[in-house]
Amino acid sequence: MNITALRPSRRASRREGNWELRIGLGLFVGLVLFALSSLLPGVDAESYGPDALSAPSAQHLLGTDNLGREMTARLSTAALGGLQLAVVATLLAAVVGIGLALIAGYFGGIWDSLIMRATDLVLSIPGLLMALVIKAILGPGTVTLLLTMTVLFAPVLTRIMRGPILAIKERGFITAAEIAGRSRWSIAVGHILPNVATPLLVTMAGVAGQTVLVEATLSYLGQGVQPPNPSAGRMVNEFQKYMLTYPYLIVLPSLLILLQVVAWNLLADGLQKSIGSGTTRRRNVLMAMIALLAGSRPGRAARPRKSENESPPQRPTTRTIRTQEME
Amino acid sequence: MLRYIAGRLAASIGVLFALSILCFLIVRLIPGDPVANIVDTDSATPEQIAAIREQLGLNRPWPEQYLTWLGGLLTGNLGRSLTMPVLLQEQVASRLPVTIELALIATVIAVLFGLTFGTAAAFWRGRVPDVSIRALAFLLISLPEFIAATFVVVVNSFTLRLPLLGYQSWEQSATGHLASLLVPGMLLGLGSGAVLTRYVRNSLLDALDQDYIRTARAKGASQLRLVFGHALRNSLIPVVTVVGTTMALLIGGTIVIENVFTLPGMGTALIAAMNTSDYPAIQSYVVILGAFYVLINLLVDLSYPLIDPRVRLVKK
Amino acid sequence: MKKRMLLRAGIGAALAAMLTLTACSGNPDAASQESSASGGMLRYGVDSLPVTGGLDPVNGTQPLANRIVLAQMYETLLTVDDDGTLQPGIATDWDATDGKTFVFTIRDDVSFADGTPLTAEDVAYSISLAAPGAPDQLAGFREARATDDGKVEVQFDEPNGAFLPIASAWSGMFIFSKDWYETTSEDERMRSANGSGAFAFESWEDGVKLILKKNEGYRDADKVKLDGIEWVQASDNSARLAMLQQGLVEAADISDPVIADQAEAAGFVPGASPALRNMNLMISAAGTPLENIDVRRAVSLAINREELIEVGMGGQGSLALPVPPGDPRKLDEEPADAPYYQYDLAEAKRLIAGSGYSDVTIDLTYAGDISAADVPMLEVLKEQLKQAGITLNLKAEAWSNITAVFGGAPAPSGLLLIPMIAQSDVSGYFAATSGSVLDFWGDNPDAQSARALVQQMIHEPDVDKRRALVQQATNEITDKVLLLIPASSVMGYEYLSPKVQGYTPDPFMGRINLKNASIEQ
Repeated sequence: MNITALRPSRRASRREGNWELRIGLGLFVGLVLFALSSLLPGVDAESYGPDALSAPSAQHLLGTDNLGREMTARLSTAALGGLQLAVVATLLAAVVGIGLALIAGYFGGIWDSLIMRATDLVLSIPGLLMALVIKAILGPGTVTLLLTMTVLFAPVLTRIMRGPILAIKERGFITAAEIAGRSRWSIAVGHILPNVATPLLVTMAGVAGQTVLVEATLSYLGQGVQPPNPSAGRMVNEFQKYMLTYPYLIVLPSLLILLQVVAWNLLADGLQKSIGSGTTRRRNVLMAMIALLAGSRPGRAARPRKSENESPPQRPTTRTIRTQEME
Repeated sequence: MLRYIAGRLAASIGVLFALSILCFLIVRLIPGDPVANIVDTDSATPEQIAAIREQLGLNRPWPEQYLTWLGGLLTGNLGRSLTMPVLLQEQVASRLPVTIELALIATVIAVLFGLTFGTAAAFWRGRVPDVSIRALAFLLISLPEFIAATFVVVVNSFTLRLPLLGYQSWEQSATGHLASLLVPGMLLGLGSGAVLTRYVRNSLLDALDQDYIRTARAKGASQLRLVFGHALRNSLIPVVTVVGTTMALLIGGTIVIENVFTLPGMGTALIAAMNTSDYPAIQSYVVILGAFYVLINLLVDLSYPLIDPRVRLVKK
Repeated sequence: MKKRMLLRAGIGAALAAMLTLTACSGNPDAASQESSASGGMLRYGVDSLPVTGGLDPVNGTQPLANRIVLAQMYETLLTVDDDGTLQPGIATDWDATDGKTFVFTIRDDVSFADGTPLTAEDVAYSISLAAPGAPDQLAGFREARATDDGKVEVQFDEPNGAFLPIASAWSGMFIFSKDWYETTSEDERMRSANGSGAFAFESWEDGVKLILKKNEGYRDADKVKLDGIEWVQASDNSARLAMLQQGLVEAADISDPVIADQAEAAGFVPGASPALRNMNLMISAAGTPLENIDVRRAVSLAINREELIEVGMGGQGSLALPVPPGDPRKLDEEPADAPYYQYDLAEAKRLIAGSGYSDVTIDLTYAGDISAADVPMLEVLKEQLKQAGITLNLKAEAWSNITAVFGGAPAPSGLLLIPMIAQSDVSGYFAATSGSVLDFWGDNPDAQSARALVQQMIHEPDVDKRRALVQQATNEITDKVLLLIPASSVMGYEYLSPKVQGYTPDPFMGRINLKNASIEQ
């Protein structure tokens, strides 16, 4: 029976196309351009000027802050910092996470159990608590933030990537490579990794969005980026007092945070929609990630460990927080 | 079945054990002497410092200190705060209920929000309500709680001037108490509500794809009847388990929301302890919040076999 | 004693707000006539309820949050009026002829909240316990004892000029019952009180509120209109203003000038004049370019203090020397006349060029948590020094890590921001060159003569001679740039609902006059 014929809305949604990816890419490119504008000669985020607290105008595009510094420069520097942090932290988390996932998924055995229990442990501690604990030990700063993100998100990547790696492992060309006598590491990096690039990219985009959220929240609580480096989260806290008198001071950094998270999340959803259907499970990575960050182990109850080694792609289980592709 | 329960219990205890070691190590890993912050400056004699170290047990070997602290945790004796003139267990006793209440209110809000909007989106699939609900849910998932909360507090204080701040205890005024937690709870629940909305919608759409729904549809049942009569009932089961998960997600959120609304919960106590480097307080609070979180996840795990018989079958 | 100076309180200052204050609060007589009608509970929004040490009248007196509450319940031996002149308190009379022996006559009509009468024995006991808390300023303290004729005699080994000011400040030496102190446990002392002041302890809900009720046994109880004071905690300035606007409190502390403006615009009355604190940059010079006196002078000259106040502090600050402007004892010279103080960029560059340092890079450590509001000032400072070719690295640390220096830990190299509030005795303002743990100069010869002057000041009982010593020490410190004070900033405002009547500020911002307030119903 042709289901589509019964539901006209699906045709409508087909016409919609991959709007997530389009809007996400658009936003992302916009943000990158805005962030890069902070590197232009003459853009100065630190020098104070005479026109403190002047509203956005032709002269001061996004207005000036309490020290007369251009909000354009402050915000674009903050955006650059946010992007850099998101990218570097995500790459770090990805290297650690995918490394662990390869060991767990491909090498298997005792390593698999050990790594999975370790991720269980880390994911059992609320993320914000973990971040605050790391900050208490190391003190505030960029290195602390990067380490925090790695600790928080590497386990997420490990958990999400282990499944696809298990799936690839069973495929013929891997067995062929093994018979040809190639070393396990070279197979892991040379053969398995390229074949899980798609879900990896999707997850990384999602992780990047989460890093922005975590950094903004930490900075808002005074535990993240330290002055004089501009941070949108800290601006929201610092400029709360100007809410009524100079609302743009708090609206602009709030928007910057929101746009960054939205851009990354849309990229994640959009990427999954455009390239996901064949090679990945039809599980929404963004939702899966949020579930993982809440300490849940998707599908673990319904899929005992034995069946995890069955040949995936598995049928999605209903207990997993997931969505079908957003149509 | 028993093996499953035992396994989950053992895993949870293991996690709590590891968490307690981690927290215990915080105090010992922090650079500097935790005592240096509390002793009186130039009146502190080496004898006084020694006395405080003795009182905190910092002179004994680590394993012994750890066991003493763990024993205290289990018997409800957490010791003294370095910066507040209270015993930690008293502070926890007065503050943990506020945090739990906040999380419960937020959960109720999240469920109401998620069910209403999720069902509406599935019902009007692909049309304007669906698209706007999905966009709203997407925005809420991407919006940090503190931004929403800050806007509400500050805008309110210049417009409606509802008494959003000013916590009242249950004894003082039951309505005042609930009122002081309602708005923070709502703001906290929105993010989780958005997650649930997406989940309910997709769960319903899954159900609508099932054979029996197709049959019903072929027989000419209305969309209203399909959604509410058939699909919703069957997709509610997994939703219940998701509620537990989102509640765990709220634990992190309460830390932020309590600080915005200056509620006397565990989150404000934790941030205050962090700001004053009150290490005994930090280690105990983190373990307690973490335990709360592990407990919710354990309950979610244990509820699977009750809700879904298939888990039991698989385990056989 | 050291933490005391850092914690947040301050003195009435000569700012524009002072004028507003006088206009609004009127004179005390007029106010007391208006307030004849009613009492009620005064709800007061504060940043924090008592912290370390709680309400213990000996061990809990350091944090400002504690002292403000303690000052409502406990009295001091002497008091000080708005000019800084000593006045009677629990002691009606005092004698200090040789500067080493102090004899106090004690009132016989004072009793504690639990009904027991106050004796000379209690006073001597209180002083004996409190004196070791200020080992620098009360050096040579020998004993305090009750004499046979019901007086109290305090003895020092050498003349002391700081004792009477300290014994008169609301911030320091509270008088409590010996019997009560000895029979209560440490916990009870931290969470209850038994003083002779206008209010008595009622209850304390952690993180929410602390309630005091009127002390019916207070000797001037008939003049106290309020039924009690309820301290309500809200740790955010905007939150406290919102509570004021929503009628949840009648008074609130506001520590942010922007929020203070909004409170003023919303029709609330400034209670006390804003408290000032000096933004002291302590210098830990060893191993840094700051060892060189020319570099230090160049740094001081490169600071455009007027601009710093205008831009970095939104106009809410003033020029300052070690004794902050607004100290009621009026011991200051005009800051503008001080050496190496007026902005002179050319001279600063010249000094740097002649100093032999090609690259002057200095770390400035500050408390990222408690000094968050000072960050704009520091950012402007960094930009100003950049003009003179001096690189300033701002380093945020947790305040709790910075306070380790009070326990004798080495200070981070370079500059260390330690805001200093009102001191009960002027010698307290010179901690950076007093030989105490906050004196980071070690054996640097530049600091020797300033240190000698401060020691002399501590041991000089004569008021006029002390005044001269303060002047000399100030000149020496500014000339050798032993302490950098970019400005003094507003530490806190207090705003009252117009319903609050009869309240007048005290010069040390101790809220000690809340006992005169009443609420119009």
